[in-house]
Amino acid sequence: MGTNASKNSGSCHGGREGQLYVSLKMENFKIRRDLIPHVYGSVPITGSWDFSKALSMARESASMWELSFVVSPDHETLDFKFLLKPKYSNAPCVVEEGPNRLLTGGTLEEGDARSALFKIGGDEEVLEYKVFVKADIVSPFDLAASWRAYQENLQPSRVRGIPDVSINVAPNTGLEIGPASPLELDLEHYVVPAPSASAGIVYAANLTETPRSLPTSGIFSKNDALSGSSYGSSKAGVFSLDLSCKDLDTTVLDPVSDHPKCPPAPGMVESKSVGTFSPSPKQDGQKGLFVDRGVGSPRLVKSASAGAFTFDLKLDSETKKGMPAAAGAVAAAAVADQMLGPKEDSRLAIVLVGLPARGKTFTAAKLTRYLRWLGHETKHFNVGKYRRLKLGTNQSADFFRGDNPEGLEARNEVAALAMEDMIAWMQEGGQVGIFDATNSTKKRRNMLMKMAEGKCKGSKFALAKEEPCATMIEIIFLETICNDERIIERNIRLKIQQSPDYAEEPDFQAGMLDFKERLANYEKVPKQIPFVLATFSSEAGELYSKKLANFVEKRLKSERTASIWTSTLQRTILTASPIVGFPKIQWRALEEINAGVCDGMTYEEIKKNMPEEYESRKKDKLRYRYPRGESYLDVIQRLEPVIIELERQRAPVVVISHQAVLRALYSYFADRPLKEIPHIEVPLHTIIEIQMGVIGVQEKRYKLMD
Amino acid sequence: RLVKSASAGAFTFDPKLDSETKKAMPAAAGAVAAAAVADQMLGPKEDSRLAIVLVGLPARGKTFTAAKLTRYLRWLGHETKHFNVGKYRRLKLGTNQSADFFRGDNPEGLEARNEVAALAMDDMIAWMQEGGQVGIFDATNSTRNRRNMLMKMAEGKCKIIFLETICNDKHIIERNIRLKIQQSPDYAEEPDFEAGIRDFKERLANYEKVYEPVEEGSYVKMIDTVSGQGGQIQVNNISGYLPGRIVFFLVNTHLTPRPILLTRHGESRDNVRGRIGGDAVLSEAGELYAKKLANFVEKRLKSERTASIWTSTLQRTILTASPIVGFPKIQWRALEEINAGVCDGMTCEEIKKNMPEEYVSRKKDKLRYRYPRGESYLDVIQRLEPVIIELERQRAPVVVISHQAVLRALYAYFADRPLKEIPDIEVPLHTIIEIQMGVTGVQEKRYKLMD
Repeated sequence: MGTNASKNSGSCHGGREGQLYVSLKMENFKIRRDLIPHVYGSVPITGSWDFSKALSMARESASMWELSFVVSPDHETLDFKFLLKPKYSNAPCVVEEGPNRLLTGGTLEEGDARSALFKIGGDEEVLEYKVFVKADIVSPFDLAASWRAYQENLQPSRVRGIPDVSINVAPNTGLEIGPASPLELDLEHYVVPAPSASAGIVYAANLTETPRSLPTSGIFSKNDALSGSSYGSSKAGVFSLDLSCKDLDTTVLDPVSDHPKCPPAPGMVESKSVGTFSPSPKQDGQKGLFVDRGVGSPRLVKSASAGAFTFDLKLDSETKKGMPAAAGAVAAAAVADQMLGPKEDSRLAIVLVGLPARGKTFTAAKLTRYLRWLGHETKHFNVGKYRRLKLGTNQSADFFRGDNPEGLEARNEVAALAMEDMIAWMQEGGQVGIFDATNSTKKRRNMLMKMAEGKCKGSKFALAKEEPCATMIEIIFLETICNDERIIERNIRLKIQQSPDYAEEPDFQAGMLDFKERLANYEKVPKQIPFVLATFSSEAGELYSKKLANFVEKRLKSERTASIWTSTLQRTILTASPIVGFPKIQWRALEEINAGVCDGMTYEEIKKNMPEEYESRKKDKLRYRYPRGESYLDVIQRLEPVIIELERQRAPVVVISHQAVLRALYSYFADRPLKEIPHIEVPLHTIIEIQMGVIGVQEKRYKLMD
Repeated sequence: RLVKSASAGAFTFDPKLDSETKKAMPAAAGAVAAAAVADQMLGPKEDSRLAIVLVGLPARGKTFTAAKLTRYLRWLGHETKHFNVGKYRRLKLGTNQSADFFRGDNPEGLEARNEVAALAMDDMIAWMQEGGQVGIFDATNSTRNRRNMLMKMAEGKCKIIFLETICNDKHIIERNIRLKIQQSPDYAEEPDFEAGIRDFKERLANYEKVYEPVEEGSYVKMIDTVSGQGGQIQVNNISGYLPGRIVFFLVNTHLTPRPILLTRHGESRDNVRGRIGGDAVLSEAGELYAKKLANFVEKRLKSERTASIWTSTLQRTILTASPIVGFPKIQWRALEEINAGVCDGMTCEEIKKNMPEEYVSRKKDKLRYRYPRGESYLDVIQRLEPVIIELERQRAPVVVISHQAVLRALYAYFADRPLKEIPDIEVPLHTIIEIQMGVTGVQEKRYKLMD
């Protein structure tokens, strides 16, 4: 009779399919020594008559103890007894008098509501306590809701009164602040290594695409191959180490039992976010409509009128491939543009324009990271890199002179090569290509526009008769102009220091140290370079919150101002409460991923109660959406305003949030592909510091306690 | 299920964020609050107040843009007011000013017009002192010295951004002029329509003679963006959260007329049992509505080239949309019903019985009340912002099948209802609210398909 709970998504009462939700209460005024009321019984969860595994009751009020648990439906009967024993040892143990109490099919045998009698110390004294037993069949959905209510019931939120925006001079949640456990004075003591990919200074251009057509023997630096190819286009036969496939062992909170299979090639982004539903195949008489919530196995939805399969044929698989991975606004916009026709649905080419050292590559890298994080297939093509690979790295200045015909010829050729690669990639489904070069002459820009247009059979205007070309490419020029001498000077120095062009420059060797030093002086320029401290808190976080407050105070002492962001859940607010002197803002958007009906359940319970859901989540953790809950993609959508605000802030921000949210935020700054997000390791009691600076994003980690 | 929740935690508020700045704090939470606090801590005092000064020749859609922007900012939770100088002029000097009142070389006319403008600006600045956050100053403001006057008046009190609308398309201007003559009180008593147009064109010529496009201060120029295709937006010296949001909003809106259909899902089993939240299937009545909705949509949108159907990810909206054929359907998590947290699945009586203090505090301020571990109406508004932007951006009709709290918030945006009214707006079951977007602003029509 063991029905699979997830199938029973219909009405909750009446059907036998639900679980038995048992609630036992016992009045108990005088507690003798440390005897605490327990319950033990036949069902494994109640310890199968084994004292040591008895379930201890919890004090609900001064005189009432309460315990509630769930018995899986396949147990016809449940018999049990109350007993008094110390919490963690078995002696002395006093079992109540009288026969076992019997509970069958949700109803208590009459007369079993008798009060409990306990003989203490060999019949000298008999204690009598009233007993209340309640049991009813609960469907998994009510179970989850009541599970939450049960939890909430025991620990009412202690921060309900705090307004969304507050700043407290002294901690105000009654958290006894003993002498704040002193942190080492020097914060460096706590530094732990950050994952290598984003720690070192990576020259932005190295992160860009490697040319498809060049033979693999091309000379390029180690980290260029390592990081550049994490989106390795396996098709082009270029040497590619696909980082996403290495064994990501996830933290205990989220055991992924087996090794994650290698997700499909990045190019083929199959988006499930567009609502698709299909009539359910005949299944044991239950006619229902499968609602496809993400990749997960469809949840059977019982409804009288199974609508005929209706999906607009225009959205054939090809356009579906062009669909960005994300849901919500991004999907709606993409679908709308697709329907309106080629002009709207075109692929987007962003062509940078500007003199050297104006931050073109820096802007391009930042934009790529943002668009990719939002779920659009984005690639960054840097012509300088193509030039170095094709013509070597030691071109002298006059190679770039306008009146040097061979130089001009060679440079045009390299640019055309890069543009061809970009257009080819777009036709295979790429959505946004970023073409990063000086592109500083009208002639060069016209060449690029003709190439983009040329890809269409007819020109843009001869649309009517001819079949409109599959992918229209729309070009937007992004020109960066900088008139501030000081900033240009700094950018030039950075370029000399980092760009492969100057790597082998011998006589610079002596000057390199001096550059570093001068650069350090530039760094001290009082321009506020904001940084973000991100951490997440668990239930038992009180000690950590004190250490965190101490850490924040030290780290931010030289800052003029800063702000503390938390979610609206009490565990983050409590974690932030010892921090004083900085305004605190509660963001609903920073809430942990909503697990819907599984909220409050452990992974084992989900695996046992809803094996289908467990399986489909493991298959595609990024797109899987909990029943009535969220997927990682949904989390990313709601975090977009947070990212925009973090980019906009000029003062440091401390973000105290939750694991899934921090994985999504971290992946934006560390530019990790979407499919890796659900597996990113965000250790407990550790602060991740993201330094947003001129040379891009740098990461540092502090582990305050184990 | 006895759920006790004592709302603990003494309410403390730090003196530094004194009541004056607190008043300046926008009602909404999340991004808006974070930005407001950040700007306040860093920027000078007056940065927290923003004045948007419209610039442009008559009949360039200044007032239309101002009204739309006011609606959007007010809906996001910012205290916003729209000051129209024309209205001040009519109240002070009557409605039948002839064209030469507006001539550049008519000293009394110029004097009177400056005086009226200064009066409106004083009102706006005074209102900002009492807690207003965004004032929209709607007038031609087409000469440099008028703009200098305004900037001097605003110095140290609020930040000024010029929003210039330029239109070079002849028949759009012609259309706007005809609309103005039909609607503007200036020409209400003018019996002869053609005479009205001639007079207005003369007034327009007078302005054109002295027109100096903006080159100074921070400004946003919208050149020929009416059709939504192409055109140009120039942005100069714009920084801060609000100016950024405004530019983002302006880039996404356009004037192509199209209908937006808002409707709740068909009646669900939980509606029958009076339970809130949950994810129930439709009742018989609900399923009947789904069919009626399908052929309503088919008839209403048959002349449209294309359209899209948006639902939430809860099955009652997906099932309501299932009989509709031929249009792509998109599930938005953002369109989900307000999250009732621990009260999910309860009836109102149960909440009243089990959680009396929660029940009382919700009744006191339904807009800001947040269910324990759930959402408040303000949270719902924050997460609906991308939906609003996308509805403004769409050029094809959209059918939104969603839930009561969400539709109240969406409807309040289009009908420009104040935030505090949102939780009590009437959105009956089995009724379709049609919002017609277009040149003449927003019109509303309701169809009741069944009781």
